[in-house]
Amino acid sequence: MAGTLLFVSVVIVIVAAIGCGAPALPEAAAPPARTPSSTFSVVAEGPCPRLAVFAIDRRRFLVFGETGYDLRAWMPGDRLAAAQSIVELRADGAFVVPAMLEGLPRDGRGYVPGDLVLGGSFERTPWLLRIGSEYAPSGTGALFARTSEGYLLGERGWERASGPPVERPAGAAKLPELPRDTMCGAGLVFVPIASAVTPSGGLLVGGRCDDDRPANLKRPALLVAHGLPGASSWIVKPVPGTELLDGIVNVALFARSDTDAALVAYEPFKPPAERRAFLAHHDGKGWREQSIAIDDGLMSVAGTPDGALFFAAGRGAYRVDAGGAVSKVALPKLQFASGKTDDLHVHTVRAFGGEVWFEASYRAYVNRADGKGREPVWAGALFANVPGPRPVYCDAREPAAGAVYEVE
Amino acid sequence: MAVLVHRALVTATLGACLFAASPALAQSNPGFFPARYVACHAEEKAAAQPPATPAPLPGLIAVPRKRAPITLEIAPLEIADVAEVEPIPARAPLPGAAPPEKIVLVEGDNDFHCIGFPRGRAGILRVVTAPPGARFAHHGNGDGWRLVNYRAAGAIGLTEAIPALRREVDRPIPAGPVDYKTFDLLDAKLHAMRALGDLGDKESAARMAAYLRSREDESYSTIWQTSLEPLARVDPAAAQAYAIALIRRAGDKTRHPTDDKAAGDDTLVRAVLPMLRQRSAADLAVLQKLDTNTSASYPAWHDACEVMAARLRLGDDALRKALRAELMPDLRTNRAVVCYSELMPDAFPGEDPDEIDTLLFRHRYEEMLDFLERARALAKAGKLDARWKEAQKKILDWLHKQSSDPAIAGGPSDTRFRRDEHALHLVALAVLGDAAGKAALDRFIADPAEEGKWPWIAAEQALRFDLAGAADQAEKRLRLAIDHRTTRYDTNLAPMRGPVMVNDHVRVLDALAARGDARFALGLLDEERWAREAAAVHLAKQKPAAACDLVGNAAKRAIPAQSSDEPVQDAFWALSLLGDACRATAWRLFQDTAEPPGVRGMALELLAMLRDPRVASLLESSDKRDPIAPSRQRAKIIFLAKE
Repeated sequence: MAGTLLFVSVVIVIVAAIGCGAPALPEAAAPPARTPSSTFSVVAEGPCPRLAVFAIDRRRFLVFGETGYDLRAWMPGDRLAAAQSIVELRADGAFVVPAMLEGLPRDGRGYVPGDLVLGGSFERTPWLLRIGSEYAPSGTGALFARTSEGYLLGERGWERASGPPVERPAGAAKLPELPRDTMCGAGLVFVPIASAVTPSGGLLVGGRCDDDRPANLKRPALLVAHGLPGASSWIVKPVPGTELLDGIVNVALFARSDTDAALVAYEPFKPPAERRAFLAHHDGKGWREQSIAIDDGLMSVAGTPDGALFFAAGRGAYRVDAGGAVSKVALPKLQFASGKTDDLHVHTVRAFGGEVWFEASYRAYVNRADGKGREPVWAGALFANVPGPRPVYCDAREPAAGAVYEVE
Repeated sequence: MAVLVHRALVTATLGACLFAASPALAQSNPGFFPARYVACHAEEKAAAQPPATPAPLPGLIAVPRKRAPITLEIAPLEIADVAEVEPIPARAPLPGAAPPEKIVLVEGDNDFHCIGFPRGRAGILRVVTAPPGARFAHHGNGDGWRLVNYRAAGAIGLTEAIPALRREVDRPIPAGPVDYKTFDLLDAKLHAMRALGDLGDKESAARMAAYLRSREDESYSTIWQTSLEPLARVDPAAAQAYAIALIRRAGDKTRHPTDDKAAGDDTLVRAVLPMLRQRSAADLAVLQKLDTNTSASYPAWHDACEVMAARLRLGDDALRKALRAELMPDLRTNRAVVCYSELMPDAFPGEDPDEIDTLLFRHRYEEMLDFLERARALAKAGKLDARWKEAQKKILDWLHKQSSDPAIAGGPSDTRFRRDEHALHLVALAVLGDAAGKAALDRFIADPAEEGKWPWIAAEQALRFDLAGAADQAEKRLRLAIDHRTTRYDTNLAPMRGPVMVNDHVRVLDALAARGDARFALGLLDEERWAREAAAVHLAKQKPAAACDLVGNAAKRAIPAQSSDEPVQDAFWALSLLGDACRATAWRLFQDTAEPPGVRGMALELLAMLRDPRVASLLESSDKRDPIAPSRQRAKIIFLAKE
């Protein structure tokens, strides 16, 4: 199967990485499969609320740990106790890469405080965002206030970036700053939520319009700013069909090309059963709402080279082929958790070439630390259509060095 | 890796006993002192198993292999989706020079329990200010560890912790059915309030009162009751105002709790009555509305006694006059009989010479001493009139007469002998200038054969009246406490000051500390945990350099006498509060091979806590019978540990 090639080393990339000033990190994986497998397996599971996979070139990194969202009696100004770390997933196992942690602050358990997001390229410079979240100190407006700390991977490990570390594609180099204050009209400001880079170097940034008043806008106004490859200005287009959504929505984007992109939106504060699917398609001229036979809020979208789109829709995972046929993706049962599969919340899908990764969360009972009975905690699951690496278990209650492990 | 695990069973048993001794059984009561043998953790993080697969390339470390985990039961799903923002590409795609700033914050594995206070202080603050739900290294029960750090922050005067502690008090309790998380929140609030009490944060009184008010009609009333003490400590006037407001609500029958486990009006009122201390006509008017029926058929007759006593404290002079007539000379009414114990201290508090006949007739030694203290204050102010002088003479004559009574002179073999009266009798004689009484008092306090609490109470009273040599006598008693266990037979538990039981030992320490006498530090070696904890709190506040030699030189006395090294371990760990002041003492003790290994070992650990450079060459020993091996292992961890 083509997918078996995914984690084979390719030495030439190491040379390229060293040559560009990036650290002497080992290994790279094989080119992505052209034909995605339809068989998914559990790559990681366990009481780790965060199990997210990120790609840097052909390498796959698992970010794991706590999100801090399991909070009941919160107060304005409370920080979230997010604490996460990184291991690399390879065909021959999972590995700690000390160079990928060097330079980051770590607590006594070896975790990096905050939510971690990885990206970039070893051929240029990998970046990392350490995002701190706190309940809005004012108690009004957005629920969370977030601070983001950027890092770039240098020869001695991660070093603080002086500005935003997430690099634009080369084709978007001439684009100006987003005109956030004028894009939405008087009294409104554009809140960028998601972005997608096209294979030819274009850049799409999707988001919603908002004002600075405590109450949310009743109806969301979604816009997508599109920077075509080599362009020196943005093309801003509205996304129609959002009238039935609440004012606060999350947005995800996938761009197969500058003339073929998809946007999904959902209302995070609604129960899954009350969410409606919202999908819009961009054909190079404008955005159009597209009906889809999925009875769930679409939380995340990704596409594969065969023309298929994959959706994480909370209560399930879906595939829509190039012809528009919808099928539910059969995610396998978890190996170390039993119960109703309805209680799995599939929230994110990522595609790297033909690889498709679904991230899900669930609640599981564990023994209380004080020995007085048991309590539900957040747990995570990571599924992929690639055969390998060997599945790992993750337990964020353990120190980072031993939280991710292979099961004997 | 936890090192040096031994005596776990002993400690667990001891811990259970201490817990059981606490009057506040509902809430957790984390100790201040760590169990030394589990305090330190080697910082290397060993994999659980050898890697399953050799690393394919340098720079990769295979994750460990472990046995299959227990299959978890999936719980009903809760959705916690929130508004999110992905990182948006914004940096120009040009190689930019990263700033040279390098993050260096990498927390160590070891906390203040291991590395002591000078270096552990920052870690305490990190835990106290950590976000809710945070996990902590080597402390699987994060909630419990947070409470330990609250306790430490209060005990060592960590004022930087005040904002976080206040937030904990302010944190809302979610509505709905109570569960273990509700308990955890309430427990955290209690410990935050106690720490604020230790820190003397009077500004927190209003938030404490607001919190207490919010819990009156809810479950877990035992925690509510225990939480009254910090309020009374930080602001007695605010506590009295809160108590009166509650009594008014209860009296008006305006409480209608929907929680069927909420405490009843009687329970709430009974709990706050001790907080009524200051005379106030307005407050008295509220209290006068409460029922004071003491007939046996009335179920709350005992509460009525407390209500009447509180009314006396608030200035109900008419009631006092009436009760005095009923209590003296005979007990003439039902309420005088059933409320005798509750009423006497407030009906005859030793405030005026006209009470003397009653105090003598009823052998009210404590109120007699209160009277003598007032007389002494008046004498100092030049206002001691003939009535007071006559009353003092009357007391002295009565004491002389009583000196041959079996209750005083009978001795332990006489069943009529009263140890309490004997001790206070000697104090009163000494206060009134009786030389023989004073000599007997000194002998009594310093007598090793006296193993009860009464020599301690005598020592406390001697300090109260500043009798000649009182501090020296107290020191003798404190030294005796290092290798003598105090035996108590009474079933009444002493009051709590936060998590510390303020018993007879603690009161002597308090009295010495109040005089600025560093000898309170000997309490660090006390066989009793409460005394050690109180001494540590005083040590943190006063930081007397003399404590180093006082404790260091006396430490060896603790070693052979006690079944565990805990007092010595606790004492040297607490001495780290003094920072470099104890460096010379610790070095001297470590080098002195005549000192017991337990003392030398802890001296070495203290030096390691201070990162004394001389320790670097002492961290390894080739001697397989190294008598201080456990301490040496810990010292190595301590010395090298990150903060």
